[in-house]
Amino acid sequence: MKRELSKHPATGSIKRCRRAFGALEVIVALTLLLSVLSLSASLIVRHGRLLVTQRHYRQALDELSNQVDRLTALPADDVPQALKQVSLSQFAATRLPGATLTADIKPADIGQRCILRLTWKELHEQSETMTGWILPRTGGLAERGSGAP
Amino acid sequence: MNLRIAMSRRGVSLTELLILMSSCMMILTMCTVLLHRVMRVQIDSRAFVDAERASERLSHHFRQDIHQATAAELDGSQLNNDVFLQLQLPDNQTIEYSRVKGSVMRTVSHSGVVAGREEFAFEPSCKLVVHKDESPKRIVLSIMSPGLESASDKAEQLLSYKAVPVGLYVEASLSRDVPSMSSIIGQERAK
Repeated sequence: MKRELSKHPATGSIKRCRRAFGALEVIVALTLLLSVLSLSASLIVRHGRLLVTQRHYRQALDELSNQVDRLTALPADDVPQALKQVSLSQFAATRLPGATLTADIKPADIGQRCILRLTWKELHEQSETMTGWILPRTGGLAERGSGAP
Repeated sequence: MNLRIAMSRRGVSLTELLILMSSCMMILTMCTVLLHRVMRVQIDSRAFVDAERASERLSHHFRQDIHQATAAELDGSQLNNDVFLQLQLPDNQTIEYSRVKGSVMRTVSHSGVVAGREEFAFEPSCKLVVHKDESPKRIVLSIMSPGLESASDKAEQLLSYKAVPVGLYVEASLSRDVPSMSSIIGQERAK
């Protein structure tokens, strides 16, 4: 029987030729592979959630714009009554989970300021605020903001 | 003697080979599934972002056009083929919205000459509805994907399942940004 030996070129030491993996090496490699796979899977799930959140955000902005458009087109005297009756459209109610719309009116330098806040549920509660100005005779302008007005 | 045989071993047993091949197959399968999933996600994301971007652009343009329009025509009998909305703007400007193979086209004309065109791509299966509401006067546009249950044909159901769901609902007050005659007279007096 002839034993397989190899000579290291630099050191000149004699080493036995290696032909297998240790169990520890295999376990480490598999663990690394599994962690990469699980990380990728969680990233895919998170990416899907991000897309849905983005769509909800756009639909919430559209809903707020629609409501502000409707309110600012009304005569200034009718706005307080309309704010009491303000409600979500069927479109937003069916698409935004747990959505609620609140409205408030405050005096401004010129005319009045109507503040609409839409809250809906994602993983965490999301809210978006939009403000419209009701000018004494003509229509108003709308501006978007988030958080507290 | 046994030690010498073990040291000089040059082959692998059938069991070892099977275990090794099974492990490799499992790893390769997992990688293939992940790769396929990532590619699928990439395709879906691109379609999703396209649909969302088209919705956002259309919403923005539609709202702006309605605010600036002095008159709107929705009656199909008065309009050209595929046109579902015609807006009259000051300075003899006209904006037409039409539906061509599912996509929405916005055409701007100055004195009858086409000055600009823009396309908003949507799936042909999406349903588009435009109507006029009163008090206050406004135009409502909605584009929605049909529900899975509403499609009777199986092929249609499959297409609806694969398509990116679209949901757009825009209400805009007509002539909101058009200055009224009283305000123009007031401004001129102030000057």
